Amino acid sequence: MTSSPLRFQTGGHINRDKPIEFEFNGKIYTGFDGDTLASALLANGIFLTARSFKYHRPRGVMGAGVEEPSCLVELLGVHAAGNHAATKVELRTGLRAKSVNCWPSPNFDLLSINQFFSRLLPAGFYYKTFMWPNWHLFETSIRRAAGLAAAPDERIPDHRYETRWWYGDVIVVGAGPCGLLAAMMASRSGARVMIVDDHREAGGHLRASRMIINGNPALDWVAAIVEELDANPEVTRLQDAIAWGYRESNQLMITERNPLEDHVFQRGWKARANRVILATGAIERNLIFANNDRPGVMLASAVQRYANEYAVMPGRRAVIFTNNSSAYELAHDLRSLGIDVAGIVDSRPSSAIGVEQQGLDMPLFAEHQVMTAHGGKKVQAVTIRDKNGVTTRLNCDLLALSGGWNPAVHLFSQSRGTLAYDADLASFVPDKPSQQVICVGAAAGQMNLAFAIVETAALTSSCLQNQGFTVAAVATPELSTITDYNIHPLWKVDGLRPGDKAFIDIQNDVTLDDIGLAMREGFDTVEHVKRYTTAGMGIDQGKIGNVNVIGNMAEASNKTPGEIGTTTFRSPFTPVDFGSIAGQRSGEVVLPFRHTPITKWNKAQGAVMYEAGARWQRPGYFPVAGETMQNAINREAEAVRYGVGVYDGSPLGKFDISGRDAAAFIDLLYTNDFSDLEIGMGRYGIMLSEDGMILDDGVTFKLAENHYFMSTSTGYADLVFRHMEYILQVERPSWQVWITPITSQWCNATICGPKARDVLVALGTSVDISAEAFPFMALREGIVADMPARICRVSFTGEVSFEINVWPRHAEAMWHRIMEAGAPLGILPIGSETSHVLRVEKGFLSLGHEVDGTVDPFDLGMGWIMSRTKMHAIGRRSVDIRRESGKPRRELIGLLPDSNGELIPEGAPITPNGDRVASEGFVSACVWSVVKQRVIALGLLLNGRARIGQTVFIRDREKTIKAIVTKPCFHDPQGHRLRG
Amino acid sequence: MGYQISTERQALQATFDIKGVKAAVARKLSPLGLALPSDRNTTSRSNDITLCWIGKSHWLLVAPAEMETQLKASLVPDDTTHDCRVVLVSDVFTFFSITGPQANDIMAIASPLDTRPKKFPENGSTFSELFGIRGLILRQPNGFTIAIEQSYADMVAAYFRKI
Repeated sequence: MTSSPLRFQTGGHINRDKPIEFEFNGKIYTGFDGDTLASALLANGIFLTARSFKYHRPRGVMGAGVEEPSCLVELLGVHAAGNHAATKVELRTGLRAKSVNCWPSPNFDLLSINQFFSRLLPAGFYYKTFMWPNWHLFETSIRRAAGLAAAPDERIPDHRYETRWWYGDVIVVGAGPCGLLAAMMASRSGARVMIVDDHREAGGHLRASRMIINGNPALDWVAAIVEELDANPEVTRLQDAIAWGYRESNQLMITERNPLEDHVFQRGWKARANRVILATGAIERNLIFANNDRPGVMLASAVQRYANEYAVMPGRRAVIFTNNSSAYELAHDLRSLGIDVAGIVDSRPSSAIGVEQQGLDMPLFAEHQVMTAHGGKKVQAVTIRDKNGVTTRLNCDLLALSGGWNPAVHLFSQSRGTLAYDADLASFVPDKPSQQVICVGAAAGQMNLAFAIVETAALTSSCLQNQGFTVAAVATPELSTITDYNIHPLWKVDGLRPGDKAFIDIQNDVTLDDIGLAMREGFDTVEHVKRYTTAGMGIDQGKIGNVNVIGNMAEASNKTPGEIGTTTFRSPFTPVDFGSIAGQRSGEVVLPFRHTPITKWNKAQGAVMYEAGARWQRPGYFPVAGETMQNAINREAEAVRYGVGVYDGSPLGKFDISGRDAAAFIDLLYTNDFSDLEIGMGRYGIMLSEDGMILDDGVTFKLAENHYFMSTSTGYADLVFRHMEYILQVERPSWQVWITPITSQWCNATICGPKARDVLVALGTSVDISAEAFPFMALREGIVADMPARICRVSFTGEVSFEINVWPRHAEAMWHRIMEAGAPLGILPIGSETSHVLRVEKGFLSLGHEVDGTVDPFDLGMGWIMSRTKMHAIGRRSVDIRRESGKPRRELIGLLPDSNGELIPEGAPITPNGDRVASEGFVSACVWSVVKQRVIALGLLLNGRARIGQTVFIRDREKTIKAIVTKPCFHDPQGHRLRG
Repeated sequence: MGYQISTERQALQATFDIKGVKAAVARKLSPLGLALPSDRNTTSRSNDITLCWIGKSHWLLVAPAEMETQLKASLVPDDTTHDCRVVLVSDVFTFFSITGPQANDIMAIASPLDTRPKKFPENGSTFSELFGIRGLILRQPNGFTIAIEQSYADMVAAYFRKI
């Protein structure tokens, strides 16, 4: 041994020339390049590494890979992250980690007191106990005590995650012997191949074994294939990468933990191939006996991997407990390494134990079972029992378990392939595929490697030939001794007593008693047992425990495990960083955003920017130094009411609509008539969906015969486009109508206010802008400020408005010219908050406020927009049918709240007498009115128009506010100003 | 940027959206000496003009900005009387070029489009997802040209800075 007490002086696949210091629970240790955190901790003699989820029992490392159920750690520092299995954390310089679920340390954990009350904490305890008076009273404390690692407190640095797509002919998952063989054959056939493996180096089980292939160490054979694959540019080989999700159309979700490129921290792959070959191997399961969770109780395959791959022996005197032949490989390895083995405890009868025992000069206890493990923070001995009940105590500090092997069918199941129970394997194997996928090797249930290789070659050859590739024969490698797999299922040991802590799901602290309790209480299907007990949930997903749950349920109910069935295998197969899913979508681009050519100017003016529909970043308001938001809005609103303002209306949706049937199409879309519209004029319209509810509103201008310019609301532009395309493609396919979205072809600076015309005059224009020549709702094309422009007289503010539409290439110049020309008139830029105030004063509707998917034009007092001659307009029939019922409706009203100047939150309910009862309406918008110099609001109220003048009551959390119902217009109800 | 690529926001391009009956579109474009692409999601070229077939009855014509006036006159975008419709959309799109030995890597990050040559040929052109939004993808020597709605141009530029 070296200075690390449990490290062999030679052997393993670690780089002893590169020692690495790391921190665990505040102490500094040393490992080697090639170690995992788990192997390095074991090498340093650290066995107590965590506390359990519920009872806070001492726990240590149990596995060596993705199956690890108990040794989860929280990573600290720049790589801060929670709940990483120590077996999958690569040792690197600067690594800092700590145990989860314990305080102050795993050695002394205050909540370990839970162990003494464990009889009072069975499955379902929380559901039954904390019901009165209210679960939420206890929730915070319970959640604090439960759970695993916390999310990092501080924002971790931008690690440059990346996601990318990949397409090819074949994806092989798993770089064990079968996966490598499949990938090599695919590569030689000329296919584009990806091979994905979750270990740092290829080889799979071969890296943990001492197998000889073709007369040489197995890893020589592995290295030759890897070299061949790496030489082929059509092969993408990902190591330390986990395929964690199987989606439709053969798409695999993969996280590559350590990409070659320094500038990428982790990479998520969305890889899709014509065929997927799953060579995912098998996962060893544990055995169920008392105290089977003590530190020092490990899976036999894990002990073998630590010994052979990392040169670590996690104990000095071992006992092997098995129900199958595979664990004997470990016994042979330990014998070769000179490790003291106190005995092999095999639950099978002597007659079932075959050649696997040959050459072992160690005690073999056939037809014996381990009853219990002794020791608190580390196993010290085990008590075994023969079939007659005679017990023997064996001293040991390591207990290696093998309860059989479960083919890793998770990805196959996620692909919607079905599973079948194989009684010979005592586990579930892939049955009928649902996608173009095959399973090979142990993943297919073939536990004999020699047979697995032959079968893999045949299946891969067939898979490639079906795709049209020519496959050359491959030489089957010659393997050293292989033992046939033989298992006698042992779902639990005999003689367990109630109260024995025999864990069936180590990670979730679920005992065999919990399963029994669940079934006695009527939860007799595997999905119900899962939910009641939490067995198989969480990040573990039952990798080593689920089949034991199923086996025990089968025994208890006199069914076969196949009749019990499995639970749903969910992605991710193992925990992955959210960052590797999100990829580059973080920080500035975490959400899509859109700018107008004026955005830069807006920001330079100090505008408060935020999204205002359809991902457009718009200025909310333009505060000057020391000014509050409300004061800024008031100042901007007063400029429009009494002077002039300008806003960037570019985000409004815009469509060019033309074609032989364009006029008929517009008439079909809108509830009012457009067919009599004159060229150069526009009309406000409301568009309904099929259910007769308002979909959108906007103004459409007639540019020429069968040629229209439609504007829509910003946020609904895409929805309207889809609606129109649906009508044309599905309902009116014979109509000739061409729709071209031109939202970004036209930018729009809207000059509004009593002095708007003066600004336009100052700009200089070729258009006669007098009210007579250019009336409200007209459109003119001409020159403005020496630039070609399309001017529309539309108003969303209630004041005279000119929408100056120019191509974006001119937008910035036009904006500057407007600000210069308007400066002597006191022009101000206004934001969307101010526009909101102005439209509320005017009572103009807004989608998302008054229009919430439940209203029709009559509800808003706009029955006038429902043409009496055009009954075929979309949604019209639905409106009529609904209104024929005569049921009362919520109607748009104005409100004058008695709120002492405070604004009322949008959505605040209006209830009878302000009682805490069902609402009769709600506040849709509430602002400080610069024309009324008070708070005003709009709302929807049951039979609202008949209640004008009445007092209603608005609930604002615990307050009740009186309000007088008014007409929904507070400014210039006749519209003289906007037509001026 | 960690990849060996060069990205460049290109100057305005003369761009026309063309929808209509195939024969009518062919007639409309024939004065330009421009044949319709033979396969969907491919391009045809004549001089500096590129015509992309991007939908069942949908094409996009792209040319240098200095040709805009001439093309506008030729294509009569305000004429709605034919069985096809041409709309000037030069300002709708912002074009970026992505060139360099790792241009394919950038496309694999930006778009789910399968850009293998047998799936997306030398004259390939198609709308697909680009950084989560819709965009046009064209091959060019040593890389790709992409076009996205100009309102998203700053966002795409931000993506390029990140990768």
